[in-house]
Amino acid sequence: MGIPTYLYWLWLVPTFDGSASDDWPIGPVLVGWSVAVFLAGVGGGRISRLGSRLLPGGVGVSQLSLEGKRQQAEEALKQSEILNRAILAALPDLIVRMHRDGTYLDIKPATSFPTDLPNFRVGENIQNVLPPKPAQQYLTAAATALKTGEIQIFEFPLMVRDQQIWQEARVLPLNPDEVLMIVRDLTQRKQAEEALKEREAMLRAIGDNLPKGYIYQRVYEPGKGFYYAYVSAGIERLLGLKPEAVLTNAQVTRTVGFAEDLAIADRAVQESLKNLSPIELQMRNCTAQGEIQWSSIRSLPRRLADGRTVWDGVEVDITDLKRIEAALRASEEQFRRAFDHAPIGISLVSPTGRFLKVNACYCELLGYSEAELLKLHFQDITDPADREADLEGLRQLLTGEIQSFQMRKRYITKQGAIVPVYLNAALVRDENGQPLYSVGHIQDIRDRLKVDRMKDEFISVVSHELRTPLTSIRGALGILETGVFDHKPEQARHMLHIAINNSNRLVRLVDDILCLERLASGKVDLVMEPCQVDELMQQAIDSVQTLADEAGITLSMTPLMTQLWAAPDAIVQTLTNLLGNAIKFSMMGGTVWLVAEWIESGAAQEDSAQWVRFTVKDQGRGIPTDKLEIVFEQFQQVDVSDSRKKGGTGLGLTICKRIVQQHGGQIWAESRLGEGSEFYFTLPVVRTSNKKP
Amino acid sequence: MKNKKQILVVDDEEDIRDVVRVSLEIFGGWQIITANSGFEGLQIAKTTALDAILMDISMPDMDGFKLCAALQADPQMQQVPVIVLTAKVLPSDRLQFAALEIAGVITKPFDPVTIWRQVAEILGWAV
Repeated sequence: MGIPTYLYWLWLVPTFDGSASDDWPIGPVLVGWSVAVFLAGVGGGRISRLGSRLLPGGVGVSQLSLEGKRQQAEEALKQSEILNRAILAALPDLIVRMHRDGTYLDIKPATSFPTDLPNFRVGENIQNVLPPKPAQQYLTAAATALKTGEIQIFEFPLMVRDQQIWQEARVLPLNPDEVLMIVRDLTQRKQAEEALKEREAMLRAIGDNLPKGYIYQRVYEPGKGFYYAYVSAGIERLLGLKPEAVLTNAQVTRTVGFAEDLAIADRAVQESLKNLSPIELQMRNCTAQGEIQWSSIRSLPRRLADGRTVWDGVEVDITDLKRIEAALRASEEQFRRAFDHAPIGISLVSPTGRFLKVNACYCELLGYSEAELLKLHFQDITDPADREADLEGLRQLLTGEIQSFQMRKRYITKQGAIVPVYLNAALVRDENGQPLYSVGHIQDIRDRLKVDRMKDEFISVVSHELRTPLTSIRGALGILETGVFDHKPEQARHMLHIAINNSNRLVRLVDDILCLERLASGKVDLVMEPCQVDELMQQAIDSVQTLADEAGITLSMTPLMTQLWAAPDAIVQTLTNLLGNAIKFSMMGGTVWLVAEWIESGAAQEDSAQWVRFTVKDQGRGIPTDKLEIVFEQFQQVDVSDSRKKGGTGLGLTICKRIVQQHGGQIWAESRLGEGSEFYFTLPVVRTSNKKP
Repeated sequence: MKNKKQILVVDDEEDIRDVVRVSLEIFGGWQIITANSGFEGLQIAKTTALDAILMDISMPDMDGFKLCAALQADPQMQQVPVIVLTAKVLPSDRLQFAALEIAGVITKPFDPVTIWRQVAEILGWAV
């Protein structure tokens, strides 16, 4: 009959635009949400010739009024049917015409999902095809659609080939007994939605469970400004701000920040907004307890098609890290200071002997700059005589035979001088036991060696000074013992005289050595107490009066009636010593003066305290200028024989010097050869009253 | 006594000079000349035929080292054997003596009865 076998297509094309085209991609012909409806002939497969194109906005039915045109119309209808069937075939959806009792009347299989359900064929009832629940949903929807004339839409899951799929059904009324079911597969969309929900849940869980931090999404929208689109719950724990408050007003985050940090952050955000550069900041916040909390903020910007800029970011608490960093910096700074300012030279040397690091003392000791030393090996500056021993020490360190070694060695400075040092070296290894570097401490022992020499010299001198009178005593007594002078009383007495004189000399010497040693070692503290200066002077005068009388020397004293805070016995000892020397070196008939007077602080005294100066003046032979200072050193008499001739020990002035120094004073001598000498010493005055005596 | 050994004793300590002189004269049987300083000793050495010189080291002005050097500088005087008689006994002191052209060292204090034997042994004289 030239008419399509049993179907005519009627297109229903909604008037709305293609905003939903993503949901229903059924081709370019159907703009937006379009439904193709096919009508079956009602009853016994007869065809209602209603099928024709319905133009957008309404339904049209071609009318054939003239028989002559019937052929033309039928041809047009045929062409239209072909087109419609082609379009229908291209639709991805399953389209089913169903009777209200659930019988499938027509089926257009889906192209986008499998429809090979058992019994799925025309003439079968839906209740024999689908599980009860979806089957009932369809029947209900069909009844509702037929009753209301409105499209019914619902989604349902279905197991196909042991896989769950999601479908969306749209049920439209066709006529009072039939509905059209358009079924679309939603599985992918559902899966995507599930995945999205999962991701959102995961993101929320991460954000809410950040131990000390939160995640956020911040948005800049032209014309609207900045706002937060998302803030995880952790912000309340971190900043004490409720997420809702931040979402409502982004400015509240600024209430906990520091102005200078916020200014830096603002610049970074503006830069990021301009260049889409990542934001990385470290900012301080003020906690509710008033403490500083450090945050690390990182976010990545992206520009949306609508012009908004979105930063997905995270802010985490790094206060502990900052504290550790600060502690580490402090520790490193301490180490650096200890290294740089150590009073001994410290070097780090590679296993090959090259300097890796040296401190200031090391550089100063060797006369090289740090840069110069870092180009050298330690062998380069080691005295050739010590290289072998030093290298052997390093070798044993590297092989693990020893953990450290010490040696005395000599370095050669940049200026060519030889510096004796005491080296203490140890090896530092990495966690795998591999040698990293050796740490060397070098101690300049020039002073120590000098002290050792001085000590040796002192012992030598003391030994000599003790042995000299002992030699005379031993010799004289030894001779007497033989009896050779038994009948020569004059010689015998001479020998006895030698022995006695030298015994006395020995006693004085031992006394002075012990006195000096006690003063030097501090074993005996000078007991300070208020002393009358005039009384101290008188005691000293009294002590030497006999000696002066025997020598025919007149003693003259100019006392000072004041008090001193001093050790009286020590001061009297000092005065007695100076007076004794003055008497011994004076000619008979001469005068020795002892004067005490106030002096104001001058060049010799740095502070403004008042001082008492004692002067012992004689008219003796005088002291050469070059010996004015060394006479205060041990066994440094102007004339070695003075100790014998004058009965001195060579330690008297040294003892005087120590005593005066321990009182905080100074001692010195002035002299003119052949005219006499003046010995001075000063003592600070500790006032007991404001009134000057 | 014929061909009596003549020995110069140089020491700034008068008591020690006396003891040494007595010891060597009485127990050694030698003839002793004494000098109280290096200068005096050098003068005597220049003008006197000596068999040996016993000298102290620590003396003012011209010490034993200087006196030794002066003696060594003179062809005649350098022939006279020198014995150092010293109270310097430490190893560091001994190191200094090693550089001297001397026959030996006798340390103070010494035994006045046997010192002459020490001198003779150092100088290889028959005792």
